Amino acid sequence: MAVSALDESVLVERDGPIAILTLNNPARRNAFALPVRQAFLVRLRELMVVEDPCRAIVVTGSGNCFCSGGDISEMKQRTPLEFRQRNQLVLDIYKLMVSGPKPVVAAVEGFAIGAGLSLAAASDYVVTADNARYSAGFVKVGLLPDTGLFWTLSQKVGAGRARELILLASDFDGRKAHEIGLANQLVGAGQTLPAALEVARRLIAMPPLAMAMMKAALADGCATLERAYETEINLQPILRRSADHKEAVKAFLEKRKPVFTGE
Amino acid sequence: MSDSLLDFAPVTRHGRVCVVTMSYPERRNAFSTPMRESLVARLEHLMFEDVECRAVVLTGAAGTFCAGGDLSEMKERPIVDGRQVFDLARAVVRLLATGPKPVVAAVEGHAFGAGLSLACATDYIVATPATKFCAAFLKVGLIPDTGIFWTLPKRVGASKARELMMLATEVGGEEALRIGLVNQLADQGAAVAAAVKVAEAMARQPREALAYLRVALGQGSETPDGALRAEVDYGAALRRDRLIQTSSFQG
Repeated sequence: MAVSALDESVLVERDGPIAILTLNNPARRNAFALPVRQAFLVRLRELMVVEDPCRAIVVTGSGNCFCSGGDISEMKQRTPLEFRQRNQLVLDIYKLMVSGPKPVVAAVEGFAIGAGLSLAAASDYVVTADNARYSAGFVKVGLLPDTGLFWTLSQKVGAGRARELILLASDFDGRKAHEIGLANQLVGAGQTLPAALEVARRLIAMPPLAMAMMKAALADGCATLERAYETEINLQPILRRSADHKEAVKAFLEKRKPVFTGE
Repeated sequence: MSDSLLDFAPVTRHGRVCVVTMSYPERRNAFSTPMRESLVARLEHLMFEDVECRAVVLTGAAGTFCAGGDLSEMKERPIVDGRQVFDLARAVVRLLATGPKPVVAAVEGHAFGAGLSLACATDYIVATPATKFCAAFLKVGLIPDTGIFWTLPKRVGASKARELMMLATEVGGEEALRIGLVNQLADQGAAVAAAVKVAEAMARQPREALAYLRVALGQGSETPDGALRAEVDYGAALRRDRLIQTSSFQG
């Protein structure tokens, strides 16, 4: 896919080892239209799994708006096969966010509706503006939640609350998002990006290999107690041989800050 | 096992409640290999052999719970040998989380790394406002272990669990209570007494039902089908026990 043509709809900026991924279609409140999804997936994949020096990703939207969900204007009739192909895009985005090796922090201002809510819920950490507006939206347009929301929302807010939010598609604000455990941090309007960058700075101080393995374990390795043990046994002995673990132990004994390399 | 190994986890009795105290004060009760061996031996005995014991309290000596893995014994092993090290830790978690008798943790001082994991594997946590919890694993280049991938999200939800594990944030007693990590706060120095009270209340519940409940919560209720199967299987077994005990129910 030619990235140059997509450059404007999703922006990538850098703050040292932190990449800021910005949905940039403010005229449509950053609707998750097809070209935006394509650009988002390309950018996300570059940052996550193609060799890239970034160590943490902040996802946000331009024009004080996160993402208003699917673009209704492009919801025309297609064959089920065409729809499956379109859905594969958001599935790939969700998978990369949840199980990719680098932590993702969402900075949510304005609307996080439908797929916008899904993107927030698929992030590892959510900073919300108190006046942000959330809704699962999907059922109101006759659709099911997508972009992984079935799994991520109930994980974050519990099954009872997730059912309520999905079945009624009710609106809720940033305060409520924080209260029910969807958002980790509540800040004033306009303050989410600096707060998210602050969290990202703490995340990049962590050892990259352990971070990557932890994300993999949380995504697909702890559904049952037995599975959690297996995950530990498969991953932890490898980490014990890592340079970062040795460096951390050495730094601890020498009472200094460790320097991690990812090896 | 020699007696000296058992010294890492001595047991005291308060009626039907047995208090297991992790005792390795020079390393703040670190979850070292001898500690794991002592805990397995003690817990296996209390859970399966000691008929007087009906509930367990897990705590730590010298005003602190457990500082986590023992960094001084983290030597380099071939990966394949490193796998075996986890068997003992797994046995401890399995006993705490799914053994037949309820377990209450009395947590003063620090519960860091595997110390936090041990507390999370119990049924009920009593802490004090001064207690400090931290999933410190990532800071030393490791992933969380000792069952915490499963137990922590169950307590505090996926969002908070991710935050605590990814940022290795320290959490005080008050906040631990607010986020649902801890069930109850006691005054400093009084956590064991409060935990024994809770354990006594649990010890008064029907023994068989408690045992099945713990297995169902620890192993059976991950999926709707699993939860129903646990209800049907264990419920039926319990009703049968009751019928045998209470002849007036028959016919």
